[in-house]
Amino acid sequence: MKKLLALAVALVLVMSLATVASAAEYPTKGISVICPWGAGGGTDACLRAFCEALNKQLGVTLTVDNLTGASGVTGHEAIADADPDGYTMGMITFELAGYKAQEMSDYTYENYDAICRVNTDAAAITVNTDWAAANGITDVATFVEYCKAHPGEVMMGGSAAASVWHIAGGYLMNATGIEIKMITYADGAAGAVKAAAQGEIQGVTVSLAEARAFIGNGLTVLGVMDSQRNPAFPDAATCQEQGFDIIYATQRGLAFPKGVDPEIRAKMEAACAAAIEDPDFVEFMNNNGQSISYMNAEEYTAFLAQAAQDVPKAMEAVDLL
Amino acid sequence: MKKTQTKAFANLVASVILLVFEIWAYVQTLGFKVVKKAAVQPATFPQVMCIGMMVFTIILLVQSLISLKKMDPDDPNIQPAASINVLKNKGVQAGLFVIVLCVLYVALFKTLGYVLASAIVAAIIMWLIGKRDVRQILLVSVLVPLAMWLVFYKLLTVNIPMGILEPLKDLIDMI
Amino acid sequence: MNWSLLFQSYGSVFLDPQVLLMTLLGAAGGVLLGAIPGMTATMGVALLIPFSFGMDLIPSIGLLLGIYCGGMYGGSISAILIHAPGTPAAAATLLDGYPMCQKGQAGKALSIAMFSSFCGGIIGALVMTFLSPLVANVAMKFTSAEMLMLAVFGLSVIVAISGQSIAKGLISAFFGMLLCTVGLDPTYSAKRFTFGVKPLYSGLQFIPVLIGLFAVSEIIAGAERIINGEEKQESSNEKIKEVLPDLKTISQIWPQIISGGLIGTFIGAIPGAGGDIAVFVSYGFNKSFSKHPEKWGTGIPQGVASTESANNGCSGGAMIPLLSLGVPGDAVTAIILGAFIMKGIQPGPTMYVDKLDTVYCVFAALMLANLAMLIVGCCGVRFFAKIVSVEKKILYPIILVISLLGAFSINKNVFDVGVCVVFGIVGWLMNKFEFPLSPILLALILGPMCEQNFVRFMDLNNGNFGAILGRPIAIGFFVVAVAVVLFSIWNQQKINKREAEARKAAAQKPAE
Repeated sequence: MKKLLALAVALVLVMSLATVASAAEYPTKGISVICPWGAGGGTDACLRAFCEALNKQLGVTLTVDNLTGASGVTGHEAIADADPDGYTMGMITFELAGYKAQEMSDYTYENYDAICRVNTDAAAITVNTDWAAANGITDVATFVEYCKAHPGEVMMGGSAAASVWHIAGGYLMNATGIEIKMITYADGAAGAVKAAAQGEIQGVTVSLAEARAFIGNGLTVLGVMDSQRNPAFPDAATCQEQGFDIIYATQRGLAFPKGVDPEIRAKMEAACAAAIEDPDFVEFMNNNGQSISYMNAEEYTAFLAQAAQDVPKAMEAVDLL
Repeated sequence: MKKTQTKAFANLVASVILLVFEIWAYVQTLGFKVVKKAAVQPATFPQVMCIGMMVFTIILLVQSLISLKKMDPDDPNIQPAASINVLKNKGVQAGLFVIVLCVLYVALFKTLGYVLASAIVAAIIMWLIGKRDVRQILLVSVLVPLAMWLVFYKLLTVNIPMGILEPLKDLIDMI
Repeated sequence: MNWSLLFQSYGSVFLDPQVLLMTLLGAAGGVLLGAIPGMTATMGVALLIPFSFGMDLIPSIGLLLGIYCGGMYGGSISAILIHAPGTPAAAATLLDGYPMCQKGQAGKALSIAMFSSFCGGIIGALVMTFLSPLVANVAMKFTSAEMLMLAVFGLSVIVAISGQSIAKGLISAFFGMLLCTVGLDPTYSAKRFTFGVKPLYSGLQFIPVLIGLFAVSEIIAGAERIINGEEKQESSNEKIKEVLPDLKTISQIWPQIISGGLIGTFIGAIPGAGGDIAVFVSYGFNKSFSKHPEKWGTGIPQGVASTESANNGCSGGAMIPLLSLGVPGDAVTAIILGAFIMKGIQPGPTMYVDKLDTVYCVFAALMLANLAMLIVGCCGVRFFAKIVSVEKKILYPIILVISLLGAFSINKNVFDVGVCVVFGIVGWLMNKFEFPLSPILLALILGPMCEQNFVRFMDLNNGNFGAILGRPIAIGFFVVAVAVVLFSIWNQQKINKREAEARKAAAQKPAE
């Protein structure tokens, strides 16, 4: 018994010595990856698949840790507060841009060293087919015209309060000058989509993937808020094609806490750039209906800075601030 | 039986405590955000719940006052209150001690880690409620949390803080 | 109904060794996961999704359904044995399951729970096989107004489970509803009762509150009882001859099983309402219309049967909107939907046309999953029943640390462990002042549904509540709710009168 104990103590000592290593050899041990959202959700699925791909590049295990709660604040703060030794990173999501404005957290994109953007899913204007037919709405232009003629009467659903799809409605209002009424569905986008199909509300501002069950079966897509068509929904026209410059999407990317050694950052960025093209990851994302839209660290930081300005404005439009 | 030992008196005490809580909660709701165009304000639903609670608390208060007034102290049918006497009842003292241990457990969860904190608290409670077989106490209180941690860490990939035993994770990972 | 294809599909599922193995493994895992407080079937399914990628569709659906059904039953094991429901859907099982365990009938309670779960599951699977499109159409009629009134109907059960004092029961219920409002409000994201504490933004987590109110408070009370010498050790001598309930018991509980299974299936089929709601509706419904409502809550087989058949009926029900509309009925089916989409299949009306064989295979897989759960359950009953024979002085502290771990693992946040302890104290105090705990539980489940749908309904109708008059289904629920309340009040008065007479008789006896 005593011998066994001694052996264990010795092993532990050796282990702790072995982990002291320089940036040049990074990574020498497993990396912990924080996911601010729950297991089984969109962010979790995307992150786990990407970690598999990163594992092939880095050769170490990446353990996903779901630190959930407080509408994602807990996880986002945990990433920023982690030791900047390069062995803790996390996935930051769209919601980060709104926390400060909502006085939920003092943290902004400036508390992170962004690594790369992994995925974006664009919102789409999708309406109830019967309602659209009855009011002669066929595209974004006729929709905007109708909304201008009936200010505040058109009711659109967008998932839970302060969620990305709810704020999408505010963005749409700011971009086109129309006034619509956003209805919240706390049980998620599925509830809003069902309600739109039932005719309880006139439409939704969620992503195509969320609405897929009813597209062509009660719901019609008017325009996708993206710069190009979604390969999984080739018939769905973008707003840009129709002369409306509206681009709005949820986004997910990887970030370190601020202050990580530039050498380590460069290594991780290179690994991510390679992992994003991993065939298994690409196949997973396609099947899951999520689009890969890579940005390197510099582009991503600029993108986050822009979002930190745009998102609070859109939140104001839907009475969130 | 003294009137203060009856169920009716316990109800009276409870309803006074509840009333204080309800008024406090209602005052809190007054500070919630007001949304201009909202059909229902964020504060409305909690306010309705506060008022609902108040209505039935007042009913309980009146009920217990009436039954205290009508009560004949010698009536054998009076329902006694459950014991909450800290000074006299050893059981209640033990219950309170368990509560204190639970609070300490939460406070020490991060620093000591799950396994150690659980082992200590479980062992103390076992001793407190009269288990005297030290070997059995130690064995159970250490092995069960350890096994739970292993199941969560390895099979369910749920990362549980280990505090000062953190190196154990590296050890397990190696195996 | 294409009979030959149906039989063919059943054959291909029941005779495929891979499907059989996966379903059995899933069921075993689900029962164990469900039995650990804080681990739910949802988590199990989410964890196993990556494993199922490599498999064909039907084996992976079998695996997921196995976990789903197993988890529904597994939750009742800890509810019965240690007063901590393993999953929210097992919350109502402790009302009668735990008293049965205290009477030394743990094995009997477990076998009834298992048998009722199985029957409920089969009822759900049968309804799903034969009535899917019909039920889905009814479910699609449920908008905010109907959901609001369904929640009100669920809440009407509170009176039935309030116990001696209806006033106290309603105070508990309103307190529970007030607790639901902690956090960001669901419509404008306004902070309510958060006091600058960040973990409170997402509200009080259901599982830690549940574990605190029931398990932790029970352990505090248990320590008290042991010191006062009032605790009696359940004998391990309960002879479990048969792992399934005998014919006499089955003849007592079959009405509850059938009504529970049907209620569960229907509520499960409504997106946004799941097993946690169904069990209380079934319990309250069956109690209200029972000949001896006073016996409910004292540990009777009917109580366990009514809740356990309802939560497994739900699994069949929740699959209905998933398959026929592409809308998941609850959190687990939302993940199962993901599994379909990963395989390139979009569930929905077109699936019934293009991929009828797959639809039938899913029916068969659900049937199989329930059978697998029964087999695993049968093997486990004797083992699980042994837990109660562990010395209480050892058992209580161990349950405490396992329960607190369950509270932690929901968000991996120590704050939730704190919440759990606080509600342990609240629960203990409530027991001391004889306030019933179960109304809080029901309020916690239905409160958010009630508030969200109410606010949304008002929003949709510009604050005109009168618009509800145009919704016949909603009005129907409201009328039933009122009837249940009146009936329960009448029942309770009957019970109180009988008890008072019994007390009087007992008091007079020694005088004679």
